[in-house]
Amino acid sequence: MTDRPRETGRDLLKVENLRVGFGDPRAQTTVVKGVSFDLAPGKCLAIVGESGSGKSVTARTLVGLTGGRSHVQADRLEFDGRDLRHLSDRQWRSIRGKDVGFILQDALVSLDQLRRVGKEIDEALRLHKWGDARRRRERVIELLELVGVPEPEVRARQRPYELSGGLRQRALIASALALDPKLVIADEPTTALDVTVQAQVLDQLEEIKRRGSAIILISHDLAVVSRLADTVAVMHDGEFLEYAPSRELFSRPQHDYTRALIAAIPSAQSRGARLSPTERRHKLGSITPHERSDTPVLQADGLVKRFRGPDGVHRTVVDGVSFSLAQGETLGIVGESGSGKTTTARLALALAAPDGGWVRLAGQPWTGIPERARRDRRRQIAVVYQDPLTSFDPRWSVQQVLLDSLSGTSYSPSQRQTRVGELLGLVGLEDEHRLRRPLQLSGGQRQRVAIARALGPEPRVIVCDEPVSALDVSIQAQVLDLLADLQSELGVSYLFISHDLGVIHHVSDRVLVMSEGKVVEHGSSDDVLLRPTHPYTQKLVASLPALERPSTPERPPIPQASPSIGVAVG
Amino acid sequence: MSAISQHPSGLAPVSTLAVPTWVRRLRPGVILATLVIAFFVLAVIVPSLLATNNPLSINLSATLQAPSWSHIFGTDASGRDLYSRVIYGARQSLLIGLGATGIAVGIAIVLGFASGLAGGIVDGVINRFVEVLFAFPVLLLALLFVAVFGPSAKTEIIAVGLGTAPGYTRMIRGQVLAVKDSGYVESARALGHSYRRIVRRHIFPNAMRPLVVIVTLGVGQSIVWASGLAFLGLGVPPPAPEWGALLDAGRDFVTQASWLEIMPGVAIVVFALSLTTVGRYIQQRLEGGITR
Repeated sequence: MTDRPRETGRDLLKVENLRVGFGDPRAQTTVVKGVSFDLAPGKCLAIVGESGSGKSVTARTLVGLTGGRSHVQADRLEFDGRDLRHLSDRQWRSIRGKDVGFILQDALVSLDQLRRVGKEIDEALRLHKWGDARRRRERVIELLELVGVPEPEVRARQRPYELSGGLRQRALIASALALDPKLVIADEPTTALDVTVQAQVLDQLEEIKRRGSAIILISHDLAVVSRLADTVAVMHDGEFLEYAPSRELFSRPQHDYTRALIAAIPSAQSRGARLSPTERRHKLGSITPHERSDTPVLQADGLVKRFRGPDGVHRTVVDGVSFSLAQGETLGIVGESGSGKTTTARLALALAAPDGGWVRLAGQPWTGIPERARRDRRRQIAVVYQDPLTSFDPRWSVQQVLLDSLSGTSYSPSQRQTRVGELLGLVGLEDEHRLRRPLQLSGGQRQRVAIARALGPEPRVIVCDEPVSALDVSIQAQVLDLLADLQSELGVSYLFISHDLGVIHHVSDRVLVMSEGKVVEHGSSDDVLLRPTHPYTQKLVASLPALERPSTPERPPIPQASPSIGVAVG
Repeated sequence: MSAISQHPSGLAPVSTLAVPTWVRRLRPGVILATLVIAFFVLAVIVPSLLATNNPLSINLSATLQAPSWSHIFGTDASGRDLYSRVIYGARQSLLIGLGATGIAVGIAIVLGFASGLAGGIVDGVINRFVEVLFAFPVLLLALLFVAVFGPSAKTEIIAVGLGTAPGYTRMIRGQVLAVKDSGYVESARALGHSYRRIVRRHIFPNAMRPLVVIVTLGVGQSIVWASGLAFLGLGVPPPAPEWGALLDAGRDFVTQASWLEIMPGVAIVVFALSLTTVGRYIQQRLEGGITR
């Protein structure tokens, strides 16, 4: 562990050597292995780490919500001068909500769907016997106003599903703030949100900080953290690898893992560079790269798609989208949820029929022809989804999935077996993964299998629909690197869909920005994302929290063979 | 989490070398359930091997005797050995249970897949038909059948089969719809597979998956239904020792000789429970030990 930052003033929270384990004492799994930190009022501590690092458990310890089978030990666990180590359930309840507010990731899950939003906030007040009914009602409106919810009187009477994602998350923040807690714990508060909404929520959290509450922010997103945190702890495998003031950590990261984590973030600067410290090692085998050709591999003109909603009203989800994708090129489509990106992908794949416009694949008509005529040519265009698990038949092993993708090719049965091995090698998996079921693989490995399946029929185009959105940043880096390698080796084209501007900028040669079904801006990715002209793109780019990168202009040298890195991102 | 637990105290672990993995993975409950099923299957095939008495021989000097070593389930009002009657009744009851479930599932697969895959008008028509069937209580349907065809095992099988078919149909239709919308079906379409291949390789097996457990449950349920019919005197005519008929016969003596109700009842419950346990185990094994 590195030096501890010295805080001035009285600490609100003091944690020393915190250890949390799960399971029965004999076969305990230790999830948090002795972390120490402190926090002063009005300051924000961010705990950064990937899934399974123990960051959420650490935060939950502070509200006594680690669960029944957990064992919490600490040399010191003090909040506002009070020892938290041996509290009863009842004592914890008096702290939760009143002294410590807790904001969870997904407001749609953590808010009661059948309860009006106002009632939800009122509940927090009522539980702690705050004021009378009339005063509480006023306070609810006041709180909603405080977190920037427009028309608070109306919203208070609505139920969570009637609100947009951003409003819901703000309602959740309002209920966490109801009793003016001294400490607010925010566990991935913006993870499920669009970038513009994320910006609003971050503004709210900043406001909380300004009013003197301390914040513990749990996040995997370094950019979000760099905007809000005063101190950052990088957590890995239950330990703080690095614990330093924010500015220091981002400008001079000490630990290799921190450096790899920062280097793994895709952005404008990372274009053309590798994001992960892994090296490419494989043979192409019997696969031959596509030859260059001048005809666009995929071309769309004036695509329109309408859906009939449950209320009987027709909505235009995709409205006049045109694009053209050349051999070996990556075209990025970026936009917020509901902008029509995925529908555009389905139209490009001819999995949905357009209500207007057309698509051509390798110069030949692709829409407006019967499925029978398309079937043989489907091998030229493949798809990789966000959630690979649902795209595999749950009964099938990896081998079955890959063999299935080879059906219809000219390979003989024995050649197909060889080819499965080649495909696994191509995406960096081993032969031992053949007989596993996707359920038994990690998220990154699953996405590799999905990519291998897409490569099976040797397509010219792969449509990638949010292929890395569900992955941790270091795994995301590996998958993005893999896609880049495959493109340079095989000359495959990508139609790459993402909500993440950094990812889009990293991978794309050209970018389409979509909003409400329309393409609002298109051009080279630098033009669109560095010099946006359309107000929507400008708003999108401005909402993105910028990460202060290490001051050295070139990327930090990453020791290739360092074992700690291997463990960290492997 | 690792499945291997540590050995408490100083007990030396028994050598596992001789025991194959699949045996070690069996759970005691599953073993017990399998034994129970094997016992009843034996009772179906060669009841004379397990029975202690002739199920039909009347002994008026030993009527309504409580369970004892000579009559482990006791005797009925005619002095017949109840245990032997339960053993001999297994054939009828199992036949009814399997037959009725078979008919129900058969109908359900045809209707469920037709309605789920075709959609539109076909779906609408089948749905209305199923709803009409649903509106008829199984008992009423059975009454109708018995009234028309007379009480017999065959009538009972058809009546219970028809009565329980709508439930299975609904379930299969729902499964088909869910699987049809799944990511892997879309992936298969994107790979260019034909509709027939997708139905055969993805939709059919995945939609049928939950059926394994439901069917084992259903066999037990059908036996219970048939017993219910027999209890009302609408089942297999006496003196055949069908389980439901045994329950029916014991009804008049429930206060003096409760074992006449309890023993056949326990047989039905234990058998149905064992089927379910084994069914669930099979399903878990089919899915690679992972329940989803």
